[in-house]
Amino acid sequence: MNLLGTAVALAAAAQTASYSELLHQYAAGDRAAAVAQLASIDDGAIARELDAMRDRANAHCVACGMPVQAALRVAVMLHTDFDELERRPLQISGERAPSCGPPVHALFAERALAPLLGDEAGREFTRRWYLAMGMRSLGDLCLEEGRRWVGSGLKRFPRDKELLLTRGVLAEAMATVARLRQTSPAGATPREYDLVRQQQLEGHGALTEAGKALEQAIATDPSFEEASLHLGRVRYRLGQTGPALQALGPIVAASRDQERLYLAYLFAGRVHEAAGRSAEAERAYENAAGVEPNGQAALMALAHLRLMGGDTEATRGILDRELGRTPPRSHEDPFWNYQFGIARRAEPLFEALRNEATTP
Amino acid sequence: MRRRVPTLALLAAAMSSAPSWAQQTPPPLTFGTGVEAVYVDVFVTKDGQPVMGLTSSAFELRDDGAARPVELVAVEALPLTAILAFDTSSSVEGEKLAALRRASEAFLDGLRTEDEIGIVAFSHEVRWLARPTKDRDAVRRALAACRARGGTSLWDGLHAALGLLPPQVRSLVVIFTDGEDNLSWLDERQVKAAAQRSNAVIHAVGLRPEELPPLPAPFPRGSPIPQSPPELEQVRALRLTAEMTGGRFWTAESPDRLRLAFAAIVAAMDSRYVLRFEPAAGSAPGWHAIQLRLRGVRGDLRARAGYFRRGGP
Repeated sequence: MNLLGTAVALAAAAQTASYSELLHQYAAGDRAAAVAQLASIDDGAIARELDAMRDRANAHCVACGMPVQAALRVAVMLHTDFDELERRPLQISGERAPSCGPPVHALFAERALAPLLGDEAGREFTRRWYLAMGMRSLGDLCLEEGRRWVGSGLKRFPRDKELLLTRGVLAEAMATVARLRQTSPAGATPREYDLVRQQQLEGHGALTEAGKALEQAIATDPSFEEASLHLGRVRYRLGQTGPALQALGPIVAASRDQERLYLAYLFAGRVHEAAGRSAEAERAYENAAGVEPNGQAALMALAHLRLMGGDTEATRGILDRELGRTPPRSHEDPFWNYQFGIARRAEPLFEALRNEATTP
Repeated sequence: MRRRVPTLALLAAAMSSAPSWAQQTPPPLTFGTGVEAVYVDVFVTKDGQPVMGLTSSAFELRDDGAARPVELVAVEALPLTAILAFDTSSSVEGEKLAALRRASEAFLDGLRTEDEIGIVAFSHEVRWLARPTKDRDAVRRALAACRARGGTSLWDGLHAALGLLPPQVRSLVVIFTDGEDNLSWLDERQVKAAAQRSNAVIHAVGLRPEELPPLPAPFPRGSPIPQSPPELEQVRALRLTAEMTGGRFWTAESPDRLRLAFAAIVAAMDSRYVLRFEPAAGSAPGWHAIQLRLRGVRGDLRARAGYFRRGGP
């Protein structure tokens, strides 16, 4: 559904409708029109409507034509879609440029969630909404915002492994971005040096936070391979080589997921390489390349190892074959999607929530 | 100059997995003892202008502090193999890519007919656009077909360019980027190690970033506003790697200025000297610092900071 595109097109022709009518319209499947018309209702009125619904959460919303509990779910998704429209306006070229906060309508959506926590279905709806918001924020590089959404979700679902994983990945991404933006201490004035130090501490702090969240996720489910994979990488980045291998070990030993296995071999290879164990590193990289023929990172790693070993001919052979790969790779190297890949799960989650909200 | 004679090692290599274009590489220029020589590509300037006509006696070279005799190799006798490593991530699409094509034209125009040029493109993926060739039209076709997309694997791209160059030839890597590395497997430390083992001169060309790093708030009272932003760690690493090889980091203020930078880089290659020396017998494997200075001549000198001597027999 090209919801946002249609919404933009309809915005100019938006008619004045009551909030309840918009909920009804959205629930009936006319989502784009409902989202487009939401702009005509001022924020104060929306807040009052939501408060009123919260106060009679077990009643029936006559104007909406549905129980208030159902209307609240509709409200959550109506405001979520409006937030999406605001942060990701369609450009003339069709290119989308996401922006971060202030998330006024996302906060309205969160306000509508509160009365849903009374029953199991409502709790599950709420949990997945926080998860999707965290994942979407990761994809939009709104990392601080994502951390807030996931933090709020974890207050309600403190032992949810998916939320914990998302918190860990968000923090890991924060450390990655901090590193990219890090300025050099060389030649820095004292004030600039403060900036460098601040950046370093932020990066280290984010990794530590990531490690804690991932450990909690694994404590909840010891077979949670995805969390173990990220934990292995995070521990390596913190300089904890032994614990890093400990986290990656079970995946290398038993994973049936090819992408995860590839990444685990790759990350284990890097840990060995950093520790000066070239033979183990080479074996791990070769295993990675064997598991995932589309993996460029594994071949880059092998080429580097061979170069360091003085075998320039082998290096050139590996690189030439890889750079001239024919036919082109059938799919992407999983490493390219490692850091932000879970953001792709946000939209299917939102779509499922929309369908649940609009299905009687 | 001594005659180039194929060695057994090279013949063996020709039977192995090395790329076909690299297999045609002539054997290394060697001294009579068979010890592999070290080549040092040197650029001498005075008041910003290249200084030409120097002889070997104008150079004083020390290998880890020990003076070594140097021999001047005629640049004309050494074909150049150049690899242009281009950032083709999505941020380059449009004006920047067009400017990059024009800059490459200027670079091609500056090469001699015997020189080879190849192009490595890196976005998230690193790939050949054109393997090293003397066929300029093939390179132009490859450039015309180049499209921008995806993320930036800067370090992987530079490492690949270095690793693909045969160690025995006079070589140049020009790397262009407009942004930050965000998807490389390899890091700057590994690329620096690769550069130490390479004979290539690296020139890095960057476009001035549109976004400068944020300054912490609140701004301390009374502190002067810095005239220039602190250098990004990544830019610093790229600059130092280039300088270590005798090249430099060029900042283009706009896409239009890329052409000037590329033309200047290729022109400078003809104005360089190539020195050759033999490491002392029994010298240790590993990194050797080179100290090079001018003797009896005034000017500024740019050359690789050292070389990596392999271990083993």
